[in-house]
Amino acid sequence: MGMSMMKSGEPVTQQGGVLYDLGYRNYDGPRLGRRYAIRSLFVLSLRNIFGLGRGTLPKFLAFGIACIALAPAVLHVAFAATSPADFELLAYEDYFGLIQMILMLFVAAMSCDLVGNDRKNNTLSLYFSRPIERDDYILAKITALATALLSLTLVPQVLIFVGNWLGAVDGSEWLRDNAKDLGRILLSSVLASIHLASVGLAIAMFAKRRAFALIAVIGVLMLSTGFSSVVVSLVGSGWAGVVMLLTPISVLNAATLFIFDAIPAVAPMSGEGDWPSQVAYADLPGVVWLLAILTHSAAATYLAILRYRKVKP
Amino acid sequence: MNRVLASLTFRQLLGQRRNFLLLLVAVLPIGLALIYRFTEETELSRETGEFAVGMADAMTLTILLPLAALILGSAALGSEIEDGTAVFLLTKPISRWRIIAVKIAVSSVVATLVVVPATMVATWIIHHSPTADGLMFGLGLSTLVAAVLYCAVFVALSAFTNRAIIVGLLYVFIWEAFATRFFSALRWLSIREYATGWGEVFISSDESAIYFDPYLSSSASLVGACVAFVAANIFGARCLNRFEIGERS
Amino acid sequence: MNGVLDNQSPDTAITLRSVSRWYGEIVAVNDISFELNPGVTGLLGPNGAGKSTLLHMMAGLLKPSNGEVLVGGSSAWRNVDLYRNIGLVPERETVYSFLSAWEYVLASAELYELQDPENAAREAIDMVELGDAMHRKMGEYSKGMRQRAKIAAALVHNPKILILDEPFNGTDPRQRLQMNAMLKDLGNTGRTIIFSSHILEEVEDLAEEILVVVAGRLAASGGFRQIRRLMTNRPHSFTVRSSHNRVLAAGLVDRSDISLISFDDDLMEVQTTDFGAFTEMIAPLIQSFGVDLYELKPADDSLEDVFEYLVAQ
Repeated sequence: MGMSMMKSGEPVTQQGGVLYDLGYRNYDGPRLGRRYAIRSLFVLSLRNIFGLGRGTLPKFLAFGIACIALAPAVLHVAFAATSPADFELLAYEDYFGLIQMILMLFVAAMSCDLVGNDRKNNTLSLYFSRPIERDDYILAKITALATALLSLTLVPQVLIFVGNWLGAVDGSEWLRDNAKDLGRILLSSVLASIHLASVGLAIAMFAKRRAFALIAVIGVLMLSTGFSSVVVSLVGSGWAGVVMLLTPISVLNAATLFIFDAIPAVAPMSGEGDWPSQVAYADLPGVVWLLAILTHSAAATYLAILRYRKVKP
Repeated sequence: MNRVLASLTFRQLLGQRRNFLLLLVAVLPIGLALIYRFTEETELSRETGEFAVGMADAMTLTILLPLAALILGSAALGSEIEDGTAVFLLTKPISRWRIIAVKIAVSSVVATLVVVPATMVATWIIHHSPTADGLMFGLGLSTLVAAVLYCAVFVALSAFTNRAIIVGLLYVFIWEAFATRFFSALRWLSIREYATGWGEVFISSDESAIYFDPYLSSSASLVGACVAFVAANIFGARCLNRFEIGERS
Repeated sequence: MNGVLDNQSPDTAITLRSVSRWYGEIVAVNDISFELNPGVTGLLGPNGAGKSTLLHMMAGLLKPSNGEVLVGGSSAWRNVDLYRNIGLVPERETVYSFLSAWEYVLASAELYELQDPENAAREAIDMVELGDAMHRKMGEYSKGMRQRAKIAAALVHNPKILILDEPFNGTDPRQRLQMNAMLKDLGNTGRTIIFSSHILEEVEDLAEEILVVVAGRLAASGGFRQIRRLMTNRPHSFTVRSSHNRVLAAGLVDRSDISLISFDDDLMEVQTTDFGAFTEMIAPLIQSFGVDLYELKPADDSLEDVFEYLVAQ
């Protein structure tokens, strides 16, 4: 393209040697700066979660899990649309409890990839030598994972809403009555997504190898849930509240119940029973659960930021 | 020479940050047992026995121990393969089976040390009396056998695939925690069942036999455990024998 | 350890017969056969040529897809006793960072089931001159020191055959000289040593015999001088662009030492067997035709082209 012509720039002579300007190209275009970098990292992380730009296996995994998570909602829509009367197969507030394992699996698998790949391939130093700040890095990742989780938390609930609407006897009237549920759906799914993303990433970043991070996330989430559920069935309601406040998944479930105003009104006598009655047993004002979920998310995010400030790329 | 192999593996396993998780695994049963003791005022009875057995079965043997064994078993062999230090061992005139056997032995020892005393102490806290300690020894034995079996299987798995942890997790959470609970016939192929049946050695001589009712008889689980153990060893050795150095990932 | 070895067995140390190795559709090694004798042999080739694959097959760490790899008369694959007679120094890190060099080499000696592991370890460490640092953890070592530790561990059992994969990678000139001298000594004692490199100079001094591998095929074998001569006496190609290619072509066609390969209005390719003379006379020649010269580029000066030529021989 004309570059093969030897440009006779100013030859630099030094004891018989000559340097010619061969037209090294500098970059003079616009530099888009920090915000663009953050946005790019966010989009990249999101794409990686769903396997776009990677092999078929990650795609398979992500979309597979998403499909399983959406399956009950889809069924619900199918039933509701085809059955004659007002029909409610699934309640919004139960959904997270139903797909709890799937959510945990998704969070575990994706958070390990998000933080593990950069460590394994030593690309952290690349990131940190760009306009992006260390805090931005981990915040972008958390946001990306939370956004991805919305497909598992927001989408199914919206589907249920649509299903109920389709199955309602009088569509517009039903819509007027139940429109506020949309707000609740939005709030609960956003909170749930942020919560799971931050907690998952905070646990995953401690392990040095990706595989052990996986064990750590699944282990901590599942064991804490199981353990607390057993303990709650044994102890008094005061302690039950404390234990549940410390357990991420319990806090998530309880906050969801509160948002949908579905905490059972009557506190049972003992802590045994399913998790809604355990929430009722703990007998804490609903707002507390809301604060708890925010606190968990904030604490996890803060932990992540602290760690990435100290980590040596 | 076994000493060298064992010492190398031990040093690899200990002093890692992931061992914090192992500590958790040991502490949870004891913590739960203590909470039980302080909240339930029941005397030694069927209820306490059931709780002890239930906790050991549903929590320790189904989830805690397999996770611990997965961490240790895959660290013993899988990390070596991933890091490349396995080549150091494989380019020596040692039979592959010996390598597998030592890895299994070392990880079993650590797993046992982590989980068995915890289980026994927890059981003792919940359900103890001078005459009824059969339950404690029985559950302890079951846990010991389970530790060895799970470590064997996971070490062999690490020799087979470098995605051993994912496969192991799927096994633990889908097969052991879910499928075998719903479809009893599948329990013939469950490591947990192979281990649980051993408890009858100590328990059947005790009244506590009423609430400890493993699915497999003790002879069936004896056979199953031995078969599984030998199979894991042979399979692992076979995989190492055919080990091919991979592309640098 | 530095004594001369007993007579070799009648079989040559390492024999490859029609060995191929593929990964799916990628052929890493393509029908290579050769025999290695005592002394130092260099395996030369560009990156990705299949050198590591060959060496790993010789060390029994890869199965040939086709053909056979014989070491000391028996197959290298699935042959655990092979390791009594060979030592492998891999390119990848294979040291335990929590061990000191002394512990590492001692462990190696014990795993080789030597009668007196401590003495053997001491000798090996002295040979690679790691005596001063041998009690420090290898995690703190420089790359060159780790390399020497690996070599010591591979030599501790006095093997007849030594395989080194890119041993000079990451060594400074002083270390290279040291290693050079050491390997030469070992080669002189009757051992069979094969090492790989992609840098001509490294191979030049040390290896008595060279095997040149390009894109999985054996491009040349023999003494270094002979191969060098082949390479300089080959015909060289140039691409020429001028203001009047036709005139130039007509003028060059007559000359016996220049042959015209291809010709169109834009680009002309010429070939000459006498590289030196050509470079001296071409510019004045073109000037004499009254043609402006725009571009004169050597068409095949890369190592690959050289090897391509050698393969065609």
